Order: sequence, then structure tokens, then C-alpha cells
Amino acid sequence: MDTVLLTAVLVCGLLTFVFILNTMRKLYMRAPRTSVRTLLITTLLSALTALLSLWQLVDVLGQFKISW
Amino acid sequence: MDALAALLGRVGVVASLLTALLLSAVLAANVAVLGLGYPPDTTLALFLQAAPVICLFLGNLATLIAFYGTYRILRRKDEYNVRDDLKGHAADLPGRTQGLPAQLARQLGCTGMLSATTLAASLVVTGLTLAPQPFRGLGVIAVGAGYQPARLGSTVLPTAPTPTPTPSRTPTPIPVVKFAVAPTQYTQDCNTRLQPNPQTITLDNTGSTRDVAWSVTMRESVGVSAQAPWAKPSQTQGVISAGQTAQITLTTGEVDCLVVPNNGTRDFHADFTLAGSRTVYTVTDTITGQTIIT
Repeated sequence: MDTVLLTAVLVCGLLTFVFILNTMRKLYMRAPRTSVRTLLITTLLSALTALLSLWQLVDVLGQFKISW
Repeated sequence: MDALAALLGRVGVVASLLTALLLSAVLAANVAVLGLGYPPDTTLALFLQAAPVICLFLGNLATLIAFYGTYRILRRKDEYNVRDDLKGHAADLPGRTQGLPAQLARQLGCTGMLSATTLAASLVVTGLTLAPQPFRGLGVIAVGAGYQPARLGSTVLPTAPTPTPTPSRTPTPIPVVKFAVAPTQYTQDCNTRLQPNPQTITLDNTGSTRDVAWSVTMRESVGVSAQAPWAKPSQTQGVISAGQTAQITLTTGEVDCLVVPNNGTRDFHADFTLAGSRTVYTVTDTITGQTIIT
């Protein structure tokens, strides 16, 4: 379970970073129409990674017997 | 809405800076543990394992906010007019989009680059910290009840469970008091002026395992008013360490001969007692009275 969650976090984070670079490139290549779509995907990926990283944080804290 | 956007912008910058600071602290802690051999305790282990994930979350938050800002600029919610851009594209006038990079730079500054950089760094550090062995190169690994530094490529050999020591019954030594006085009896003669006088008494505490406090009293009194002790000790009380001996002297007064019957004897007693004990160690002095030939 730990490995699956970590893999999901890392894959989502990596995808987010790739989309960030892609979005930046498109923005600075002055292609705004395409940029809006990639921007939305990047934002969604970023939100998903943030949620997964929160889950991962709870998991790590649980290993130290810290819970809410 | 604009106020919310401004607030979010500030949160994004703070999140990026906080991520950078936390990542620096995590890397410093890793250098201390992995490089300098600082022993990780539970608090340090918790920081090493949890902080990269917190950085990843904050980095993502900063990215979200930065791209929300970019989205607002593109959707004309801020100053940049995307419609003009599209018209420019339709009219094959790419020159009309020339202002976008400058506008992004003016509105967002380096927030986008900063959040992207911290996000990438957080990803790498989180991956190296939480990856299973042998891919874990940062942080610590829980081994038994403690933690040991993680090293890339190394496998952790679980330590053998430490046998729980069975409490051994250590007998508490009972204090032994084995006290003695010597001699317990001696004689003096009024015909020879009570010589030898004074008499040496040895207090023997060599058989004891603890110190003893002693005191001595003269049982008989002599003199005109019968108030004076029959002998005068060199000291009336004292402490002798375990395993040691001490000596005192008893000096007999010649007045004792006045109360000893002629041609007879009389016993005089010196009683030694120890603190906390009722045992009395008695030294008896048998004094021979004057010899009268009738």
C-alpha cells in the first residue's frame, strides 16, 4: 500500500512538473489558446498531487503513531 | 474576487518560500545524519520523513496558485487581453501576443519558476526519502525500536531482537554489626597505686559492615558525694568506621581505693553501648583493696 501510494504521488508529481514545463513553454512561445487547456490540466494534476501528498503525509505520520 | 486572488498570490509566494526553507532544513538534517553520523532520535526521524511530503504538498499548492494567477491573466480577469491575442492569431498577426510574457513576468514575477523548482526538488527528496530499500537514499529507516540512516543501494539487515534482560535478584546486603571491646576484664591493686593506670581499652569494629556510634558510661560512682565516676574515659563517645578499631583509656582515681574494702576486692564497670542497640559491652575493673595485717 505504501509503495502504491508513493508511486501515485511521484507519478502525479512528475506529470505535473512535465505539464508545468509544457505550459510555460507554450505561454512563452505565445500560444495562449493551447495554453489555457494545458493550464487547466496542469492545475488539475497539481491539485491531485497535493491531495495524494496529504494522504502520504497522514500515512507517514501514522508510522510514527501520530493520528488525529 | 480580486482581493481573494491577491490573497492567494501572497499565500503562493509564502508557500514557495516555506517549501524552499523546509527543503533546506531537510537537506541539512540529512547531511547531519548521513554525512556526520548524528544519531537520529524519534523527533529527528519524524522530521526527516514527514518534512519532504509537507514540502511536496506546499510546492503543489504554490503551483496551483501560480497557475491560477496565469489562468486569470489569460482569461482577461487581469490586465492581459486574451481576446486580442486570439484576434491576432486569426488575423495571422502574432505580433499582438508579444505582450504576454512581459505581462506574466510583471504580474507573477518569479512565482511560477520558484514553485516549479521547489516542486521538482520536493519530488526528488520525497522519492528518495520514502522509497523502499534499496532505493532509499535519504532519511532514516526504522530498525527495531530505533532508527538508522538510509543509504542508497544498501539493504537493511534487521537487527536481532534484543533479549529482554530478566531482572536478577540482587540480594541487598544486610548490615552486620560485630562489635567487641577488649579487654573485658582487668585488675588493679591499691597496694601498687592502681598501676598500670590508665588502662587502654580497644574498641573492635573489624567484624562489622557498617559504622557504629558508641558511648561509654561508668556504672559506679565514688567520692564524698558519690557523684564522681569511678574512672575517667579519654572520650565518652565516638564513631568507628566499619572494619576499623579505636582505643580509649580509662583512668582510675585513687579515691576508688577508699571504697574498696581492705583485704578485699570490688568490681567497677564501664558500660559501652552502641547507637540503636540495647546490647551492653561491659569492661570490669577488679580493684584489690589495701592489705591490712592485723
